[in-house]
Amino acid sequence: MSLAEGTRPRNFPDRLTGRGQRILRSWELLLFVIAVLIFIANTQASPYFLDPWNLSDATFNFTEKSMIAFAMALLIISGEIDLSVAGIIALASTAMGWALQFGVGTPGLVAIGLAVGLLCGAFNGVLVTRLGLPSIVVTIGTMSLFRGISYIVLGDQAFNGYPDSFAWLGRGYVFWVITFELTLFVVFALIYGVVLHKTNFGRHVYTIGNNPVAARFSGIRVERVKMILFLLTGLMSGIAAICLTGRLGSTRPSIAYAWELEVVTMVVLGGVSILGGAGSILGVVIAALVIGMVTFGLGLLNVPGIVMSIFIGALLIGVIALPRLVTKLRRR
Amino acid sequence: MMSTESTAIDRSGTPLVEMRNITKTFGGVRAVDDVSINLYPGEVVGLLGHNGAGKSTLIKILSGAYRADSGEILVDGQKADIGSPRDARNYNIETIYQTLALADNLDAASNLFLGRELTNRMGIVDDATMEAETRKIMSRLNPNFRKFAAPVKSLSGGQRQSVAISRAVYFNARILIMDEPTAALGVQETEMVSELIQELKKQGLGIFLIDHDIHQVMRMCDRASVMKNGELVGTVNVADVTEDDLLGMIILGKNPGKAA
Repeated sequence: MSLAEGTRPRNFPDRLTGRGQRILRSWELLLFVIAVLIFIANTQASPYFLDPWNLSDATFNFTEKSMIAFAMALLIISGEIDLSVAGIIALASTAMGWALQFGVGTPGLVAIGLAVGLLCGAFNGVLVTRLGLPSIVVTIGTMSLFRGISYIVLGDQAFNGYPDSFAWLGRGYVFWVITFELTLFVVFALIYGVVLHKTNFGRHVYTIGNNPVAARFSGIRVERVKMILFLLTGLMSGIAAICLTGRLGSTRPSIAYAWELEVVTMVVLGGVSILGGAGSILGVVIAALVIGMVTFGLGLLNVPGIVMSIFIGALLIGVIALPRLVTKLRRR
Repeated sequence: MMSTESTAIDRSGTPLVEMRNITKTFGGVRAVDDVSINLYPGEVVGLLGHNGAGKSTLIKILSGAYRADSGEILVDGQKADIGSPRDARNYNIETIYQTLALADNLDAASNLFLGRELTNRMGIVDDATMEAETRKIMSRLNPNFRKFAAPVKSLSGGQRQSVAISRAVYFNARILIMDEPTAALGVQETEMVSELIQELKKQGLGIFLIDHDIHQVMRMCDRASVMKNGELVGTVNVADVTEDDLLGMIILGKNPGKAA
């Protein structure tokens, strides 16, 4: 090729900052340190904390939410958001409880939970990708819509009497203290980690979040990718609905109330840019552990729920403000 | 400076691209009105005109962002149906924007392979091979380029532009659309990009160059097509006209009578 004439590759080191330095400065490491500190604080707060069964119980505080958080992370990286996830849980749980009245068994209930999740995701996805509506507006609407249907069906009643095999999905143990939910959490963390960081689909998600115009001009089917992400988020909400309903053993219309905020908190705390285009699954995993341990530790100390949410909110703002404060102080 | 080369373009054969009688209206406004332009291999054609003259709309029809209301596009003399940027790519038409082309948080290799990532049989992206390929092409295009692992938002304007251009070259583009490729660049980087364009010409690529800078167009282009109010004022050989002639075409819509 003519361009090669007169030019020869020269060898200079092209990384002035090494790999080690990049890891040291990473968000994930900071978060991990915080997780360790909270873990230590918890062991001091309660002598029962380190008991394996106790730790196993602690995982219920984040497993269901974090399953949704993985899909939500991809959605937020692509520049969209789904605030209707808790509404989807309510609707999916109500649909399963309603089917239960007609004697549907566990496999049927699971299928219904997954199907409702997918349908709700599809509904959001079509409104966003086909009609071009902003996802934050669409899903604020569907958040009330989905839960509203649950309220209409249930009123102040509840669906009870789920079979034991169904309850196992929420409370069962696969091995010793390892719950079925924790196993799902690990499996989904691996799947979403590989999909986001190691496949071209994941690369397209980043590209869309960074620069939708460039993505389109690079031949990426932007609408299709976003549609898939809404479907995934819906599906994960359906799975969370199955686990949560199985664990609680009943369906009320207030099930998983305000979970969308905790899920988004988990994602943002995990280092995913709320503006899209950046973030990692590892960060979300550690953030899930942090939030899970904080809520559980505070629970051990008999701190009421409302104080807990204050604490989580403060933690979110604190962790996000910390790196900026540090750089500001350094510049002085 | 480049005018001696411009006479050497062979325009006897089939054009690389021909846009014939293209019309596009937006709600009653004729953005492009019956415009015909063409491009031969090894040629740089400048597209000039005020903001709103219709040059961007015209070029977006070629790159697949819009569909023309009427008229046709021919690539190598064959009628081409371009309904999306993806279709345009299949005809080896690549678009390079000054600011729009890159994903800021991804590194140079990911940007080079944007939308066309190399994967192994399991569907896992092959970052090592992509970086090696990026190093290979960069050693040809911009040997001073070192920041392969950094997100492209940390690169200078010229470095970013060389990533965008390397993408077109790597994937064997034959028709390149450049939208103000030097708008945000310093003197030295502008020089680098203009040298790159000369190299691409030698390899037989055809380039549509949209630019506001008449001086730049006189320097880099072989021909210039001028648009005003959605209509084509005319297409001239750059060597045959003065900067004042071009200005007259842009501002007054006056054809100097030296059509090419």
